[in-house]
Amino acid sequence: MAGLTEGRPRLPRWVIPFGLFALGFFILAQAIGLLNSPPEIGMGNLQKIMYVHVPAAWNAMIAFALVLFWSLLYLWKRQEKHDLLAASAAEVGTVLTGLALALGMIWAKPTWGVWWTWDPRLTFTATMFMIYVGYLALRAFTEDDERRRRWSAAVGILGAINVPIVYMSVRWWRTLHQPQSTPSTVDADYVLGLRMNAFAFLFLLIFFVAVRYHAARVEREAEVRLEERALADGAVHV
Amino acid sequence: MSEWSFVIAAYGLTWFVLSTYAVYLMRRRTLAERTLTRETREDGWQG
Repeated sequence: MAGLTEGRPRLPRWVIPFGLFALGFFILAQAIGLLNSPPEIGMGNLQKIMYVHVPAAWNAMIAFALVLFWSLLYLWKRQEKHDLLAASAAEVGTVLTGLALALGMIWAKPTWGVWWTWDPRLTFTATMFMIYVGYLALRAFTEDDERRRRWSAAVGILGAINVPIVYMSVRWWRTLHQPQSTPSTVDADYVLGLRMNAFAFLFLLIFFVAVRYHAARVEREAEVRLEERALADGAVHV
Repeated sequence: MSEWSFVIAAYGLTWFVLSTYAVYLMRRRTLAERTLTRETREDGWQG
């Protein structure tokens, strides 16, 4: 007889306190971004959108780098946990990419006069978004476990090729989008807000991936139990 | 629309997306744990 807690995945103890810390840090970072930076000469207060748009884009790329890392690890070691970790990072990265795209549009309308333009940076970011939406769709629609894991690892590795292209697109092509905003390229007044928000998004990314991975492990465990029970039922009835 | 309305829209969207995703994850976790508890109990009854 299987005990209630036998082999049951547990959410690591650090996750919920860390989530609360991430939320507090995020509130502080947002307040600093909104209240503690002067309007920029060219953009005015629209500059404050940088504190959410840029960290969302950076952390989406970090998430996709993790997808690459865990996909490679899965193909090497063939351990299910690496597949679930890659899927968790892919989902969080897709949410952040969608958010970065939407925030970019909100910034573009008053700055460029249009919501969207087929600029290389925007086009490659939209492509990146579609690749990982495809990755998640592939996982949702492939029933065979082994095939799903192998195929999604392949997409996770091939999709990562686009990530450095997105990052470098503003240098490689003449684009409407300005060069990367980093603490070394923005004015000193904006460095603190940008750094704080970058870390705030990173902490949320870690929290989201941890919870998503835990949920995936529990779902998988429930599936295994269901399959075992179905097999046991079959054995009884045959 | 003024500059500030775009700024507020951007921050509002950020909070909406991140908090909705956090709620979705916590609900997914709760649902998965409930399902596992049910499956484990049913396993137990059969055993």
